[in-house]
Amino acid sequence: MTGAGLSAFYASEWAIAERAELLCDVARELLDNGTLPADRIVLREPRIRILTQGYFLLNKAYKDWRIPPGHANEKVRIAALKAIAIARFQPFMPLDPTNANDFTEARCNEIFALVYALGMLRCKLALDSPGKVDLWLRIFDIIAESTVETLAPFIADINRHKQRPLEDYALTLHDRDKLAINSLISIFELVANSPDP
Amino acid sequence: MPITSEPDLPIRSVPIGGPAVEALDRRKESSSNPRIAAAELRDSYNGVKDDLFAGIKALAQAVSGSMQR
Repeated sequence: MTGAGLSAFYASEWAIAERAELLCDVARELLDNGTLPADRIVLREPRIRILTQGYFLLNKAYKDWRIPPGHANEKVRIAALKAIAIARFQPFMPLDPTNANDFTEARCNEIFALVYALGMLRCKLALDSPGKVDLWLRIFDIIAESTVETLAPFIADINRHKQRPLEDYALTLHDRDKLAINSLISIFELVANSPDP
Repeated sequence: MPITSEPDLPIRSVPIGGPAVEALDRRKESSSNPRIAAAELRDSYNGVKDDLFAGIKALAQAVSGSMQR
């Protein structure tokens, strides 16, 4: 994708690069500090730029659906959309994806998604009661099961090695994505406004 | 009275449509914040990242215990 090819897209090449750089830093930290097991999980770093482009396409489709023209999106919505974009593009992968042996392998991309989302919302991940474990696991399930059908044309082009300028995509939010997106936005709204999530 | 004495079987999912449903789907949500810069996101993340990593590690440990039961 060339800079000229992106020039007409609502998100600049610079904005995409900036967001991708932050995502890369978070992903690397997860491996470097042992939150994710570096000996059992691979980070496919080039996917992060692709997922960032996918996120901006998804954000555009969402805004066309729910946000008045000319308005920017809010943090909780961005967190939700970024989380499901991360899960869809799966930058992390266990070495043996058919044999995930622990929680971090089973939910490596969802952990990345939630850490990024909570980080941008400046929220902690508290485990001060048994119910909190269930709460967070339920949120991981929602992220994992979001399929992001909206991005199917973009992903098909990527898989065919056919690069098109992002402004060429006129994506409308797929009905199947609305539940996951609405659910996550609502959850992040509650988490962000809770004194002790 | 609009009350029937029959359960109106079979039970199936009947989509309710019409202008009110279309209007609900077309509705816009309020969103008035300025555009968010990557630097602001990075600052937010840096402010809580150690707690997040610790939280994930504690969660993994808790789940590990429950998976062995």
